[in-house]
Amino acid sequence: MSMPEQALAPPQESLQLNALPDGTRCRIHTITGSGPIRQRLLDMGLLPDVELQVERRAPGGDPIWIRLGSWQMALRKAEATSILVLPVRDA
Amino acid sequence: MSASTQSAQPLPVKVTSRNLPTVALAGNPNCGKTTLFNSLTGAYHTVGNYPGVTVERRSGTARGQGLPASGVSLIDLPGTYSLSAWSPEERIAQQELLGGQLDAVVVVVDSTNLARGLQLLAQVLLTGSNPVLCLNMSDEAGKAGQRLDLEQMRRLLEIPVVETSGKLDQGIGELREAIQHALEHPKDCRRRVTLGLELRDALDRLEQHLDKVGIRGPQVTWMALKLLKEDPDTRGLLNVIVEESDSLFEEAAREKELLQKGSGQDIHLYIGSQLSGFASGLVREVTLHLSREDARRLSDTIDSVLANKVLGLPIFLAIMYGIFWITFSMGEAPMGWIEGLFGFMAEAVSGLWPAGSDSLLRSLLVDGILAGVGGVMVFLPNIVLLFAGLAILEDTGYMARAAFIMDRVMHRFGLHGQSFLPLMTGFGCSIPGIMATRTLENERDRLVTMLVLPLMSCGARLPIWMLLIPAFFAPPWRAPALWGIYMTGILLALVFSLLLRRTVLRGEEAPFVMELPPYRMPTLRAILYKMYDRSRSYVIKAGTIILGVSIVLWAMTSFPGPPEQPAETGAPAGIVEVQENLDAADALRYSLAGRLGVAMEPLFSPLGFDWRINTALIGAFAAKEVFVAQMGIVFALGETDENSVELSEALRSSYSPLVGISLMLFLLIATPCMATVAIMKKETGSWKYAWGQFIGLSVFAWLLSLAVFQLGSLFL
Ligand SMILES: Nc1nc2c(ncn2[C@@H]2O[C@H](COP(=O)(O)OP(=O)(O)OP(=O)(O)O)[C@@H](O)[C@H]2O)c(=O)[nH]1
Ligand SMILES: [Mg+2]
Repeated sequence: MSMPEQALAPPQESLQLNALPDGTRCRIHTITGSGPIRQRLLDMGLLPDVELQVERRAPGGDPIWIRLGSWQMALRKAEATSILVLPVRDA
Repeated sequence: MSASTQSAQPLPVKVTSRNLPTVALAGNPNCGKTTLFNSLTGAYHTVGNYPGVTVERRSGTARGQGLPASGVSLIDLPGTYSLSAWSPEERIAQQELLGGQLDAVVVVVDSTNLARGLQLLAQVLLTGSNPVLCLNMSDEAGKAGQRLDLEQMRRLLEIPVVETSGKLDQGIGELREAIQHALEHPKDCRRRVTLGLELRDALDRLEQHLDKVGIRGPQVTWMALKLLKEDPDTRGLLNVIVEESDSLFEEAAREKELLQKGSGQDIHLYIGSQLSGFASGLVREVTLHLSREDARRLSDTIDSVLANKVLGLPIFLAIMYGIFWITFSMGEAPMGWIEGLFGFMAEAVSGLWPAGSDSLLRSLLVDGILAGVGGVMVFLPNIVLLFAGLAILEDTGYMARAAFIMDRVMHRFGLHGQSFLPLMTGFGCSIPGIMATRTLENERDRLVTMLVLPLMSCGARLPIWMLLIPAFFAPPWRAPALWGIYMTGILLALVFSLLLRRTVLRGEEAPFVMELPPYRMPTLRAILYKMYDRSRSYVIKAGTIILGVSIVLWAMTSFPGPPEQPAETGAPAGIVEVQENLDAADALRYSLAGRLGVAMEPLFSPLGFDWRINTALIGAFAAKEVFVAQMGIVFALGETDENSVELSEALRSSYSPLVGISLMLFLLIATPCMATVAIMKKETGSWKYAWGQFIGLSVFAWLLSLAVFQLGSLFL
């Protein structure tokens, strides 16, 4: 699959979601990876520009609990690595 | 709403051989489809506040004002986030929605989570289905301050739009009318989905291409979209029905490249963004008032404690302990009443015969039916309490938190948090638990979960614990013992799944993503209904299967009678009684059941079981409660004195606590019931797993009980 260049070179400051500490707000830059799990995340509405907040982690540090506006979900670190985000600075 | 210019086209009237129009409820998981289905059809299907409660297609007839007198055939489906398959349960929904057999589709959307629901609406519209939009949970959205312009929504989409609250039973009449309207004026709304011009043009060109090879109808747009995504199923289908499918695929690949170049996104991200763009654009245009930011504060505060990184796990364990404690302590009084009732009935029936009569009918009624069925019925209050506890966990939304908290532990053992929900369902009954594994998208995870699921101590085993625990444990240890037996089940399930994952079902990690619904106050009605439903099926089971098996077991335990012995005379009264008891025991051993039990002794004596327990084990395969019934029968037949001792006391005097523990372990693990074997065959499609599970668990149970009893005998 030949990918357009922009998608290959995310802006410098984009981070993997799992790297963020609890309480951080951020905006999705893109979802990397492939296959059904990526489609699943897209289907659930994890798409570029969606804002989310890391709420907490489960005992043992995994999975991660995130809030996306009016709803919340849990996902494992392994899945969170494929979500690239840009931190949102509180004004 | 820019790109769509054509107005919605009415479809040609479908000629069908079915009598009733068919309407399906589609929507995201946990948006309230089943609640609405129950309202519309008067059914009582299970509802719960976590995603993945419904795992099968269910149909019913909706009637009432607004609908045709003959009714409408309504279909409840598992929830789904999109029309691309993920788990087996979502595939069921998708097959139904893409099957082309529906006269209308009610897209149920959670109003508090509008944009995501409308993304699914966009997909349903693109399939050319005849839609009704139902904005459910309007009570919650309203409380949070959200106001929507329904008129505007109807204008933009040109489809019936209604607001409902399944919980408060509001808007159901309007929903019926909207369904009827949709049935009378079917629409093809593919053009109502606003997409970027580039995508729309690409789809149009692909549709023309499909038309050229003879594929027409409302589903072509969806097919074109799938071609763009290079969906293997669609390509497979086209390979079969179209001769020059390759040129079609080339065309699709060209369009895809073009779209990717233009947007700078890969096709999946691009199409996802387009659909969500439609949804969020629509939300913007119809929102009069946004919901307040702090609307979910209470739910969040609760989670900061219950789902806490440190407190979460201990709280979960404490909640489970609390449920078992209540099951024990609050059940005692009503148990006494039921015991009293059956005792009274036994006396009344016995009173019909002269004292000391050995009438067979009296024995059948008192020692067979009343002892067997009564023995099981006594535990009804405990069943009701346990199920009330589980219902509260299900309906508040705590279950999803438990899955979150337990994921790490499950992970260590090769499963994941999602498997935890079917396992918890298994505490009720293994059958729905095994079916609930359909929410697991990974085949191996699903198999492992199904295979270990019978280790979750089901409701049918509760009477066994309620009988054995008071017999062998002092009062302060009873609730902990009950909790312990359930925890042993969980622990063994984890160990087994680790073994399976390391040996026959090896494979890579499955991803874990799960929605966490907000806490909801369970309605008293819903909880009471779950309790009632459970009691009803328990009583029905006691009155049918248990009754039948009790009679059979009574007969097996009574016949053949022992050969006549010369009556002894002249012995003092006390000795006569002892002698009579011995005679009764001999008679039991002489009976068919007794002989079977004795024949099983070489196998089970090393575990500490005697022939009486062995006879009860046979019946437990039919239904676990039968164990309790048969113990009741054996001990009722085995005693001759008029005032019968309580069964658990009889057990205490006959067996040591070590036998009790060995027996409880054996019953926890061995021989999943008949119904479990059958459902395993159905869900896995092969007898291999069904019998493999049966034999594997039974052999392991035997070994474990053997080890416990033999080692215990050394030390005690
Ligand atoms: N406040 C509120 N709660 C609702 C409403 N409708 C349903 N619920 C609750 O939402 C939860 C989910 O309801 P279900 O009917 O099981 O949802 P479902 O869409 O069938 O869920 P799945 O079968 O898992 O896809 C339950 O706790 C219901 O009591 C509503 O209109 N308002
Ligand atoms: Mg449902």
